[in-house]
Amino acid sequence: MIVAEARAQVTVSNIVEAQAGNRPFAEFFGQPTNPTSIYDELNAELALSGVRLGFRYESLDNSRQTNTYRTFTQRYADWTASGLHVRVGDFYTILGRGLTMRAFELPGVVLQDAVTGRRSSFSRELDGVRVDADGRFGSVRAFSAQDASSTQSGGQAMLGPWRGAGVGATYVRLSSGAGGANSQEFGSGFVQWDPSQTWSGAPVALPLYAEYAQANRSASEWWRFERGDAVPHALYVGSEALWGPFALSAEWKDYRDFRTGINDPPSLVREHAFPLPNRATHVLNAVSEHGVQLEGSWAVPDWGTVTVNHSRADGTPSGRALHFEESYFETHLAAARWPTVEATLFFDRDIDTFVQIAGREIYGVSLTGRFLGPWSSTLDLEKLDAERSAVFGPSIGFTDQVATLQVARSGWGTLAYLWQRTTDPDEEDPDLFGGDVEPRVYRAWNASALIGQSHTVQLFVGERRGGPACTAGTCYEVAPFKGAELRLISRF
Amino acid sequence: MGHRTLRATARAAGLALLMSVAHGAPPAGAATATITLPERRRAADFRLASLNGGTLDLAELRARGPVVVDFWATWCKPCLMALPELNRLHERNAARGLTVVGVSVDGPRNFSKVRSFANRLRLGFPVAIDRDESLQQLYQVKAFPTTFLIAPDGRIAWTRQGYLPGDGEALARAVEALLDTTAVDTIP
Repeated sequence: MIVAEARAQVTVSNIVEAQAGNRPFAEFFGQPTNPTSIYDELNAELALSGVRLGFRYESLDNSRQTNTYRTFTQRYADWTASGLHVRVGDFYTILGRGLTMRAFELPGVVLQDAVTGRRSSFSRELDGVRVDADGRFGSVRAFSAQDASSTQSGGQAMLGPWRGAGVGATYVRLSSGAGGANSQEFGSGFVQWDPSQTWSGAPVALPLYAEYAQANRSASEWWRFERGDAVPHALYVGSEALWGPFALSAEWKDYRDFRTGINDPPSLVREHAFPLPNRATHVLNAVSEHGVQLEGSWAVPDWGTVTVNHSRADGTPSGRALHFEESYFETHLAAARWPTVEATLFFDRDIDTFVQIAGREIYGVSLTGRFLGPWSSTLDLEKLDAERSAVFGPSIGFTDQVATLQVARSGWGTLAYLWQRTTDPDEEDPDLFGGDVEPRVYRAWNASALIGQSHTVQLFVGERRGGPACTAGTCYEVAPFKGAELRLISRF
Repeated sequence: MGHRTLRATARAAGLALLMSVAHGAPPAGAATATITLPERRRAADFRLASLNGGTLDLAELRARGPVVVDFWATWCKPCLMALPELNRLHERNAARGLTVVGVSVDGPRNFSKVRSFANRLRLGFPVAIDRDESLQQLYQVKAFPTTFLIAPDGRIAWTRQGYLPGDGEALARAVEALLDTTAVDTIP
């Protein structure tokens, strides 16, 4: 029996986030206190026999009635048929590894401006038309989009008639001003090859990818692969070697004047899951940066995994030589003999003169134990010791500490207590400026609950530390906040 | 929706049409099984390139049995705990027709580490990268991991946002129920 196809279907997802609280030290900065606000992101899509129509509607209301809005931030029509995909309206795309173009979003991330409190989804979409075609011998992607100030158009063609191998090129043109008077062009060529796919049965997998991009140069100039400071360029090479329980990934980058505003080249910096190393990560400066990243791992049978990572980069973005170097070790213990207990230990050491960090060490442990069937508990402890160079006078040393205790029940949700302490003078209470640095302590409760399979509700009460955070490879600023925040994520 | 350059649009469409001519016939993927599930949302079909080669076509996979689609990332701590449970589910039920598909939502920063990561966890099921986020958008994924259990008839039988220790058992029960139901109701 053939199951009847659904004729039409509506899919809806929604994120609503309500806040009652303050930016820390609001009174000190002369801002209104105890504002309340509610942000909503609604996504809806109608699917009908290969055609999809959708929109995103965002709104922000607050008790101060400042920076409020209610607007459609995305609208699109999408058609798919036998290897051809056409989208008109708002879309995301990536060309190659993102050296010349990447339009994307961070699903679930709501950005908040630290000063105005304005919130919005993290989305860097294009508005226009995108066409993708996949064939037996390759693929083509082309797009054209326009915003208030410029027009972006370009595409990618890849030829891959051989299993596991392909060669391609990308091209992007940015035009702005009257009649496109100001324009920039970016182009890249790339090659990818996985011998283990070409010759099946190979004991070692060794996928390789290389891409080289230039700006405002002709195709004949591209072939010279120039990498001097006078030539805006981006070179990325990445490879992995997989052999039984061992894996090694190696990457090499060389970027010069390639921060275009619409691209997202690989940073070659490890993305950490733990809070302190995550917020202390090095952020790529594609104006001038070259370096390598190596990561090796070993899956120890019935015991867990061991991971080591080393990355380094050098650059002269402002004419001065800057250096970043990080070494990371992590072991994850999940012994088959004790299935109810897991532990992860890590140690990270880095220097990052791009942001005046003369030295930094971070270490931590995460323990998870299961008990009484569906119940579990997780304890995270982390410590950071860092030294920041000062323009005048001696360098400044500071320490961050994090402790989190979470109790969870499968199918119900979690309850967690979060504690952070820092002696970073940049985060000192402004009322206490002068004299010795007084440590700042952040305390909060975090609870989450599942409501059926369609809803997740999260409640945060306490003080949130502001600063950098990274999700899905992209770093952004989290606004500091003190109060209560309720978030409901729904999918229908 | 703003103004678009018609010439660029025509050029893009022309290129794509040219390529589509070279494309072969679409795979025959219509599911022939019927199961008794409550009327729920239907999973959108997709085709993704697996990192180990080959194509993951949901319609083809559904023809073999239930499919678990898990959206995960290398930087996601709960995903690290959930993936081994999914791997055990795959090992126990692959022969009975279950397919587990791991969809990495990593950005280009981590593209070159996804296979190593899967290798480190000894994942036996196929893994693909959702490079342009089209699948995340299609399934409206807002948290990670998010897991879907898709019945052979295409309906979403079970969904979970996030992961807590023990959640794998709930998924295993849903898979077991689906495999049993499919076995009873499937018409060869």
